[in-house]
Amino acid sequence: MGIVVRRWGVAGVLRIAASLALASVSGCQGDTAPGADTDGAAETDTEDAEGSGDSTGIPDMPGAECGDSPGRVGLHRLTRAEYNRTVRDLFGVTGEPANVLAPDPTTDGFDNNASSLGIDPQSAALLLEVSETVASAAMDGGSLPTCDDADASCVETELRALALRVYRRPPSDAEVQGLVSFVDAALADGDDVALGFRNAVMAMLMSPQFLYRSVPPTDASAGSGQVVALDDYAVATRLSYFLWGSTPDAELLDRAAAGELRNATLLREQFDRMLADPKSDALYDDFVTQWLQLGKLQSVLPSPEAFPSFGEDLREAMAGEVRLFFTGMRERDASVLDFVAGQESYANEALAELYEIEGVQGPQMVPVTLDPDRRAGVLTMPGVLMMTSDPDRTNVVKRGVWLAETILCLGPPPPPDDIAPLPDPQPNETERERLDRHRSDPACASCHVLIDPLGFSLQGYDALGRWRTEVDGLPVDNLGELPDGTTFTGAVELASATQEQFGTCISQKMMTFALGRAMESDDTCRLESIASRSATADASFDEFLWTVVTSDAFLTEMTPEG
Amino acid sequence: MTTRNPRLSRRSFLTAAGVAVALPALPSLLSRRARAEVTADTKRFIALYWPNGTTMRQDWQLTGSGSNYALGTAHAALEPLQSRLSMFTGLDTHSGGTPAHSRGTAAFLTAASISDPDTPRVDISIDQAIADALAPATPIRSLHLGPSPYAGGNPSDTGWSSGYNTYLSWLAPDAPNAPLESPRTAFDQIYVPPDADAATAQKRVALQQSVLDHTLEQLASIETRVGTEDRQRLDRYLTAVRQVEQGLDAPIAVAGCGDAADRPDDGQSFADHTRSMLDVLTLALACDATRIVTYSMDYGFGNKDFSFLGMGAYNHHNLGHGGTAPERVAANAAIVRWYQDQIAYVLGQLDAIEEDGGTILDKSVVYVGSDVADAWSHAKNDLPMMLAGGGGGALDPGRLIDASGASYASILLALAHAMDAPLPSFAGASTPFVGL
Repeated sequence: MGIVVRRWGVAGVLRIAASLALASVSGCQGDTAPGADTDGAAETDTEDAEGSGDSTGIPDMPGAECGDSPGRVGLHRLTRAEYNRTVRDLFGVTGEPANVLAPDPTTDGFDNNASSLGIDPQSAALLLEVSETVASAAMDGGSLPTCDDADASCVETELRALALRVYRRPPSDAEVQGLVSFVDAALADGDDVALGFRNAVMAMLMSPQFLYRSVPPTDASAGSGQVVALDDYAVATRLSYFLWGSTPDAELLDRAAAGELRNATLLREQFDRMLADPKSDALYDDFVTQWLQLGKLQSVLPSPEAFPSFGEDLREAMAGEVRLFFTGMRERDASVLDFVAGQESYANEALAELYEIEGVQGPQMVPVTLDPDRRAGVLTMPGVLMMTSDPDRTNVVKRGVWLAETILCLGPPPPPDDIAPLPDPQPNETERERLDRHRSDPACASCHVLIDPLGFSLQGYDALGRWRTEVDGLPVDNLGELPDGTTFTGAVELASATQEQFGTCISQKMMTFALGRAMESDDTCRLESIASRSATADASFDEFLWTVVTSDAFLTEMTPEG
Repeated sequence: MTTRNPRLSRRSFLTAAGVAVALPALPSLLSRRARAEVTADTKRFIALYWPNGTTMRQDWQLTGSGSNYALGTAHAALEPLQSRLSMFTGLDTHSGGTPAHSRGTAAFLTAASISDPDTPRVDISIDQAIADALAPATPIRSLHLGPSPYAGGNPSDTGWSSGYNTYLSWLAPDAPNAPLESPRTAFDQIYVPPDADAATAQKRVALQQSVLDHTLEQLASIETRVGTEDRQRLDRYLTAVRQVEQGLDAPIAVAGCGDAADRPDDGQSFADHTRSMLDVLTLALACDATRIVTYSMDYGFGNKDFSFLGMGAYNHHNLGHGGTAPERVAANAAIVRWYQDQIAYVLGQLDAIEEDGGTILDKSVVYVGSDVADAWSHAKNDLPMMLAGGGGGALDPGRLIDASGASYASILLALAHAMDAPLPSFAGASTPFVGL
């Protein structure tokens, strides 16, 4: 097994490390993912045993042992949120100017799927206005360079430096000249050089080199169907949008210029630095909220009759708990498994009351330890339990769907075309009896046989997430079942019975988000490799992210079809 | 960098002057450009969509035939307009299968089926085929509007990309027109303040054109070094930029059309947002800023909170799958009726604007419908579609149109022909449906 490598322009000879081709150690070895297509990757290249200086620099890349295609993301338009953070970090422009654009579509759970992100005429017209707004704000805010009007060499130098930051790689001479002409035109028009810089920035912000994450500097389509390492600037960009949801900073671009991002030790230094930066909160805002579908928490409407105590402050505390829990997990170097098992959380007085925790007073969120017999990380957080409930009662099906989609990655077979509605409750009928009646319809059974038994495991919590022992006067029925027939009782047992599935599932979610592409059959072995290395009790969440960052699909790609 | 003859546009007036400032008009400036000609033959195409269909069709019972027919209980507000609209019976988009809402929404203006959960891909929609054929010389080629924003992203249907529920209009199979969710932004695309400093406005347009020329140059140079798929992505951007350039070139319709005081706020309730968007839609047509509009009052799988109707705290989509308890059925019927009230409102607005050749409603083809016939079952046969307006004489409104057995593409093709768009075929249909 070997990997074909090829030259990639000015960056010199890029090679995948010979180590990449060594025999794998993972349990994936020998697995052939269904439909796996290893064209071009299965041939042995005689050059690949040379040094690793021009390769990814990562020995034993997670996923490389599988020998599957690393896939290709292609041109990747910035999302609205990424655009907003990028102009904030480049020019100090706040106020989320890109929010006038239409929202980006959600594909495979995330809004950063490259194949779903286009630019249509209406958006282009708005982008033009946004580029003007941002460029003017940058000028007014003193974020643009200054030169003497007559100093052409200063103008060129400054524009070259600016374009490096805006385009996330060094601009070509032709690109710089194209920008200089905006300054020349302003001066010819009797305006000052500052306005010229503003106009040049506006042009940069409308350029594909800015709007798309990483435009190749040289011909990328020669020798299609081969695996190549991303160059340093592409690594910087992918890393930065993954961890910060924003553009590489000066330091990261400097490291890229020095060729240091294809060296495991130096890449790790940058990775650690970036995670320590508050900008890595974007991991919560972009990844966690979309993964857990927390947007639903904002729209659920608990019935005032059923839950008179509910108020917006409680909703806010529920959302705040998830964020603080995640921050706390990272600070404690907890395992990614803590998501479904952790007890170290946060609550204010109102939330502590739901949890039946005494001694917490006031609106301030403070650390609390949850009851390990009753609570299991996000699975039992009031916010999650409320957003998967109906306004006045719990909903076994909604909770089952949420568990299947977010925690276990069991894509349920879609409901049939003509859906029979859930039967209305009959007098004296339990929820299980009602759903059993529903499943007796074969058209419904195909997916509800999967969903319903999962959802039952959360029956021990009411529609606000409070622990309960009775439902409608009967003892709680929280017997759950997995598709393989394993049975368990309640959320805590669910978490321990599904640890391995969860590890693979969170790997799938994280890779989908990190790359901005759908996971396919070629990724099966890769995801198992990532999960088995770092979605484990003894690896921290940051180690899990490092495994993602050093995976073959993150650092290498297939060359495109011409 | 190329520089071109600067021209004036709505957009340059808008920001150059600032909408809040009301200064006297500059007739000398405006008279230099001819108004885009609105004649007796000027037609408009408007597509309106609401999700989740009817209440098990209990509120959509159409009886009678031809011009002698009775509307359903959802249609009280439409009764005064009955002679100005036709209802379809037996219309089928042939978009069965899961995901039911996404399939129905995708088919609404395309008659196309979908197959890729991970990449929104449909086909050219009829509004865009009409725009291609007529190429109206308006500042905005076509305007696309949407509902108030969803906090957690637009709804996805059983794991398929939310794009399928979001986009009605498609330039090409991989190129949707994303709807604007901000009534304020939409208004700003249309409204021309009566004041403007000519020199500033001209300079601004010249800069915008230079920037777009620069973008086109960058695209051309990059396209030579990327693969097929990336080239397609860049081509979409290139097409979009060219259309923005054409908009900059388009002549001013009417300076001061509309009123800065009507500039709507963002962040309104769903009901107020809907009313604002309908007013923006009317303004866009009245000002001849565009002649083609699509508006998703809510997206496919739409789950807006309708507690404002006072029928209980319900989200629309969930309600349709929430059983058949009488209060739930009644709440759903109230939602369907509310959507018909909105349609009646905008038809009335369009009918209130007189032009050469009649009211805008007389001169429009207004196609209205939903993704499914019935929120409970997702049935697609006998969809709740209607056709309003006179189409400038091309339509014969006020009838029940029996579309049983018709290919859906043939109906969309007939809409294009009513717009005088000479399409030889659409989505596989080369014979238009007869009887609109």
